[in-house]
Amino acid sequence: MTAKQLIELVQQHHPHMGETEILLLLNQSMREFCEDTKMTSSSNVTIDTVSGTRWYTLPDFNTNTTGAFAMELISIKEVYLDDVRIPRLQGNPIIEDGS
Amino acid sequence: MADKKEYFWYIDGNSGSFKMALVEKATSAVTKNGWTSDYKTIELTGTNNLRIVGNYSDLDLDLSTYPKWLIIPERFHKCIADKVIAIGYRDPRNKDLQSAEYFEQVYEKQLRKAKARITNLQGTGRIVPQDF
Repeated sequence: MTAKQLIELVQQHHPHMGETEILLLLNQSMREFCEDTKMTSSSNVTIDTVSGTRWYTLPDFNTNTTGAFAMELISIKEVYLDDVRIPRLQGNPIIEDGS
Repeated sequence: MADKKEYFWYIDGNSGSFKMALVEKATSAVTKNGWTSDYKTIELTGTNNLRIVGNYSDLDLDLSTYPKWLIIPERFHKCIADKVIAIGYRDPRNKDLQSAEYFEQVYEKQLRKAKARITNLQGTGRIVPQDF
């Protein structure tokens, strides 16, 4: 179904609701649906690493160059460093020596 | 032959945004206040050399560029609209809790079907206890 059709469905019950509000609620509900059902798509993000830097911010959303294409990160499947898959550490180290 | 380096990642983030830490295993390499850690911060500099493969939700809908969800099968699109209708019936502008309850139940039913579909596709089973 298209966005227009979905908006019309909602407006049959709530004619006072505007398109922007409905789109916002549709997208929020869609993310909950994807998270609950695990209907997700696999996608990559790449980040530059810097020697001596421990922490890297994970982008919550995957966006295209115009910023219009948004998909919320639900879980991490795999991590590769220099093309080698690295495992997740169980627990956190007791000493922080990087920034 | 180059030394085999062991790298690990872990996550910090109880808030909305997450940060990923990268460490390298190095026995007793870091000491502080008498404590010793076997993990030190990476010493790697590179462009796009950290690749994170994640599971992402479907596209955010809009009226022009992305008018349709691509990952969620078509038959489940309406149930997401049902969820929004339920939210609308909880709104003070059009409050009707009975209708809200009804549309939430419709949504929940479809949600269970969607979960079952994924379970069937992935082929995972579960053990159901039996009373004899």
